[in-house]
Amino acid sequence: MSAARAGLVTLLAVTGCAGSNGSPVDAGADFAIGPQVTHIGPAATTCCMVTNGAGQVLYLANPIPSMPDAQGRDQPANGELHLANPFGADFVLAQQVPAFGYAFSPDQKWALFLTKTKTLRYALQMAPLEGPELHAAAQVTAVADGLQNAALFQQAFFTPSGRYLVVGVLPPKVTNSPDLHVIEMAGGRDVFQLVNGAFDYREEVTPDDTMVYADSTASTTPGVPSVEGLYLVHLGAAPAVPPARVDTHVTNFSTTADGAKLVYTRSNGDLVMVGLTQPDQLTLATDVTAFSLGASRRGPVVYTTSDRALHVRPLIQPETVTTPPSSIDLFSPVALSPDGQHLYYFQNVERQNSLGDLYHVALPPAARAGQPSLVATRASTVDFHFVGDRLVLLSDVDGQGTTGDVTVASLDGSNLRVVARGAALGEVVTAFPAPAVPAATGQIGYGALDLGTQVIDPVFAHLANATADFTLRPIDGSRPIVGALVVGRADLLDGGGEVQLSHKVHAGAWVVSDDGYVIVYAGGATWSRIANNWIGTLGLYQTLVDTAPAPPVLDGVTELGPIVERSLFVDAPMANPPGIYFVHY
Amino acid sequence: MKQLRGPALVCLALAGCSGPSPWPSTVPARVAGAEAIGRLDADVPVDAVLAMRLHDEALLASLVEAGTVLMPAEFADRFAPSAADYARTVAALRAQGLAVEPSPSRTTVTIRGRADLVEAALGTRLVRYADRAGVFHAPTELHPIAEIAVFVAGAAGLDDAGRWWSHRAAEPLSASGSAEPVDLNTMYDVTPAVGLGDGETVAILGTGLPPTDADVDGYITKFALPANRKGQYAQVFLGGPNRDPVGLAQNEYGENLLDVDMVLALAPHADIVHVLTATNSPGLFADGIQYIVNQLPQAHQVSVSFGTCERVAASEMLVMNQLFRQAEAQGQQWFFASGDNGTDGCRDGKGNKVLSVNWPSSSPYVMSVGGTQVVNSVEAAWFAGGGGQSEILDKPAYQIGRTPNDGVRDQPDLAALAGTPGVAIYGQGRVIAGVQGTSAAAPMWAAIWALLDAGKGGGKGFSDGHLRLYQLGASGATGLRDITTGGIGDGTTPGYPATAGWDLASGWGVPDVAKLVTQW
Repeated sequence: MSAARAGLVTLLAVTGCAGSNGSPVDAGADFAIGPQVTHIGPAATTCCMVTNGAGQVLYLANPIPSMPDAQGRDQPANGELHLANPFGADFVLAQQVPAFGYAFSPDQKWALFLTKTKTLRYALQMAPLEGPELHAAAQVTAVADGLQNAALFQQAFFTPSGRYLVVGVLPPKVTNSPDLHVIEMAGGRDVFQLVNGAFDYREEVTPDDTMVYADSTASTTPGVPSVEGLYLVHLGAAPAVPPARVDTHVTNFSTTADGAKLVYTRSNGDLVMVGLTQPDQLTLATDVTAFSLGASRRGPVVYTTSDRALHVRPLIQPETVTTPPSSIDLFSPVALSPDGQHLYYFQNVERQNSLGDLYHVALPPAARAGQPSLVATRASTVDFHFVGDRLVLLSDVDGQGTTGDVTVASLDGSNLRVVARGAALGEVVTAFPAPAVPAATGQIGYGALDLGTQVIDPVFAHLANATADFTLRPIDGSRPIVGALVVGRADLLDGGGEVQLSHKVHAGAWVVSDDGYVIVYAGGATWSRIANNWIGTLGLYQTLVDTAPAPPVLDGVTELGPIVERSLFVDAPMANPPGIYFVHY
Repeated sequence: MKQLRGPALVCLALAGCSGPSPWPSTVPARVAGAEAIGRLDADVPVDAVLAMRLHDEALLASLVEAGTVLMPAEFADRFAPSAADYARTVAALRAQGLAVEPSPSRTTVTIRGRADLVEAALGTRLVRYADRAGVFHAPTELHPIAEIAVFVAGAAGLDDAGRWWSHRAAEPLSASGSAEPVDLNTMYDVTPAVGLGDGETVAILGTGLPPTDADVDGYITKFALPANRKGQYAQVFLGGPNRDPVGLAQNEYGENLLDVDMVLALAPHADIVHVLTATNSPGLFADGIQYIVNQLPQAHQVSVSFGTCERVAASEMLVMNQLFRQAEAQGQQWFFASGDNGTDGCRDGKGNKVLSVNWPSSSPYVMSVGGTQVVNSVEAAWFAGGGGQSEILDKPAYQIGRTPNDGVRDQPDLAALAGTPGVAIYGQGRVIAGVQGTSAAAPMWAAIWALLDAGKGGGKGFSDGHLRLYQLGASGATGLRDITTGGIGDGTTPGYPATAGWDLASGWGVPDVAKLVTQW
């Protein structure tokens, strides 16, 4: 479940199963005990929360909206960075920290954050989270200088294993093109570096910490051209084992999910696959302009050729489907249905509005395999979900990429039907709520009698009649979109109605709980010039039960953290007192 | 199959023009955040453009896909409404008391009249609104009378919601010394014999705040150019009005002024279609390029003054090259500024001495335009002009044997004035002097290409522009004036000098247009 950016949520709840103790699980939260709301940290204007579930929170106090840079681009707000926990412990980590210039490590043992240096750039600090207190002496400086005034996730990423942070670092007197540094999360050690602007190239890391990356020979001699190439290095062995070059003139690449294969295109249009675990090489196709391994990165590989035909082939077998020329937009994403029988792509893509005309192609052994058919016009390219045997998408997206109509279709694109209008784009989320699985006890459990899950009808929630006001710039960088928050249940798919929870909610200012049974939102949103954001009143709704529990009393709310075990952090800069709250229901 | 939107999305730059208006809705998004403060006074003059419905769009799309060059008259005959239907529409509009200006291609109709008459004809109300950015007017939904609705696909120009005032406070400098149109025509030998670009269309791809009518008119009037903004200059807004930060959009506004003015300076009779995306990224290098390639085939020359570091662009190169290749095949030549940081195309500064170039100017399917400056009355390579060797793209056939034997795409292909003394442009009621950059050179070459196309291409464009250019350059033809002094660099790494023949500082050099048209 995505955290705070839920726009349309499809909830598949599980009922009727027995828990490990044999007692039935109800389909709703128990609200016998009223919600608890606790203010933590200073009474101050706050923003830009990053949470560690419901365990800890990083946030800015007294944030200052920044001026645009010399090119007129928005810069992030900055403020005093705090680390707090639900029990009221609150520590100041640094001053003048850019919004979201901080994160928790995947193992939740470190808080990472930027601190301003004498060069007016930023250092990367790591503060250990073990123990009740934080002391400056215990902090580790992972990178002394060279990070930029931007969110941390814009200039660094964790490897899938969580063992490393790959970060871009500007050397002295370099204004663009950061070098690439690899920080070992176990202790903050800088274990691998690539210079001459290497971070500007693409890189990808497999689950076993093999980094595949593009780089160049970086010529400084006039007349001797640099040569761009594709390399790989095992971070666990670097730098003792140097990188190996795979190929040159590589334009794009992707690794398979298991880290066994590397697929890439060359500037001459060759589509090539090589093995990462054992040496082999195969040219899959020529004259290729783009390719995808799909969201799962398990194949088949889908690629387009210069005649704009779409081709599908398993990674190690001959091609299975080719559509007619001019089928696909050069900027189209592609998607496969979970059963691998249906392929979807777009024509007439407008990238800045994230929309295009959606087409469907059946894959073998279907009778009409390879024959494209139009599913919906002006469909969102970023809201595309499979719910059982249905496709849920947004169609008829407006001219600014702000809203579209929630539309349901069969997997082959037939039986298309609009079920709701004006949902905010980019906020379609699918959730599969279920009772939390008890932690393993070492005891033998008997589980559900039928050893299967019984999927019940979905529940939908989304913003309706949403509008955007691009003259407003929320301090947390969120999109300036507001709309009515509505919820529909299973009958929505067959013409049923929806329930409006609030007439005005800021996009992102509502969140679904980890078990899917509860929606928490900031309703009745109004723009606050002091908070530089929309503020609302905390509301609470049970998705599957027709009861309205007493909501926690809290006004002036802007941001909501993820709900974990019925707890969440709430940013309420216009509450009394203002600041961060911990809510448990 | 591509779906051409045709002229329905073209908004001629009339007073109050704000962007594309899908039929029947022309209500700008800005209305959603504004408060209505009353009706537009009945006697306020209103201009608007109605786009006619095209027929057989499938055929049109297939011709575009096939790279078929369509002349405007041919376009009208095959796709526009019949002359009789068009005449009926014109008559119906005139019967509403409106002044009507037909178009030869029968794809649009320009109407002018009092606000109340326009409201009656189009079945709308013109409402005044106020918001944080000021007061503007816009129509409600349109419900035109039946005689109009049957043949008309859309309307544009009924609101002024997008006409935002720039806060960019560029202080005017003395115009003395800057290159004005007459200077540029003299420098590049643009003689009356080569014409003024009649029948040609130059597309400009930009983003941010657009030039206002007054800006364009100001340049035309100030420098006494034989141009007519209303008849020649159109703006197309892709994705709605700008939605980038205002500061960024204002910076880009200056770029937009420069691009338009340089085309007007050298090809004052050419039509200009200024395509402006709502966002800098991904608008410019995705929607903008795709739109011009697929939906403005009549533009045989396109100027773009934006670019980026080549090393961040590898993943998009195959897709972009495919579009540029399609454009060239259909007789549409793209001109990209090569950059203003010499051999440091990635603008890294002194801490990184690696040589780098700009993208998309390094694409083998576009013309990369470098820069010159005038020193002691001699035109030399401009030290800040972009040039060098691609690190990823192979040498195109047309460069083999013509440029260094390095196996890679070398740039620039050409050059024009980008440095001292700069050029004069016009904005916000003033002449702005001393404007520099290869951003000036690229639209100059697009304009020159229009003159070349009008003179030698029969107005159909060249699908072999690079080949011809390199053959001509290698022959030593005087239509390309070689730049042999000066050079480019970044102040840190040794750069490239301008030498006899093609070089990495100025390509084949600058044009002598009169001779170029003769020798091409």
